[in-house]
Amino acid sequence: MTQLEASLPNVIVTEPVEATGAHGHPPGDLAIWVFIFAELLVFGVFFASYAFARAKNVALFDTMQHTLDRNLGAVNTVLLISASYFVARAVASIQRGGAEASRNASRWLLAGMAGGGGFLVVKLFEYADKLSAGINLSTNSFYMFYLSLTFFHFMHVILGMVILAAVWHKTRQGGYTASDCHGLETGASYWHMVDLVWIVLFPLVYVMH
Amino acid sequence: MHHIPTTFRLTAVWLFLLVATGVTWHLGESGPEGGMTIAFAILAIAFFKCRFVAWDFMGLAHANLFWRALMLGWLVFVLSLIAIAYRMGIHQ
Repeated sequence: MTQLEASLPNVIVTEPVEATGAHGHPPGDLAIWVFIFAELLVFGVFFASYAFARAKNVALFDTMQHTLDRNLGAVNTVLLISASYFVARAVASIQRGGAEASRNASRWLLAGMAGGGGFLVVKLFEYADKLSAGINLSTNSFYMFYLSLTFFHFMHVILGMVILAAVWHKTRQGGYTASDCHGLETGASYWHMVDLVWIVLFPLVYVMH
Repeated sequence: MHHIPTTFRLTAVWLFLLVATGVTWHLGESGPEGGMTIAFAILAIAFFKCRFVAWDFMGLAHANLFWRALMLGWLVFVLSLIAIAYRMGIHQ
């Protein structure tokens, strides 16, 4: 704080607000963005592997794709997109500040977790359906990819839910303010990454034939 | 500086994502088998959906060029590989 600032009354001197996009950095911790791009790289390799494996055996992949429930895939896309939107609203609410910010944000985060929970439930129904039909990793190369790729993503949704629960808990306690919401932004960025990956996964595995 | 997205902007992006998901689903249900045009349309929709999520929900719209280029690079690279593989499948 400069000498001039120190001489001003407290009501005028406020710390500069550093949140989304401050200094050109993406919101949240820099480390989470390194992690996010590492994850995107892994998923990218997975997606390309699936696509080139399909190119070698189009008939099998197209036939097997018909055994998936595309409607449930679409429902899950809607759930994850909405969960991402709710979390974005939570972050914006805290960033705007105000007396009701924490209360509103914690509600949006709860809605986000409900969306993520809904996704997991739908996916469990899909897995149960496949397992009861005797399908497993060694059924064929399509199901090897389908099960491993979607389960890898499934685990990311669970981790995202754990992170959301942690930031929800802190938000409820009023732990984030407009000038200090780095943790919330970090958790939200991870959650959006999980959504981003599904947006490619859904058309690739459920739709394109 | 704070770059807080407006409620209108976030909601408009959400609605776009929902409509785009509906279009993707519809293309999968009614698209002719093996149509390269349909495949490209589906990948183009996925591109715009991801871009909106990254720019507006993740806040990359206000990040510097490095982060935006990294995200766009990942998107273009992965979706291009999928398109190439799909084309290889047609000319099997």
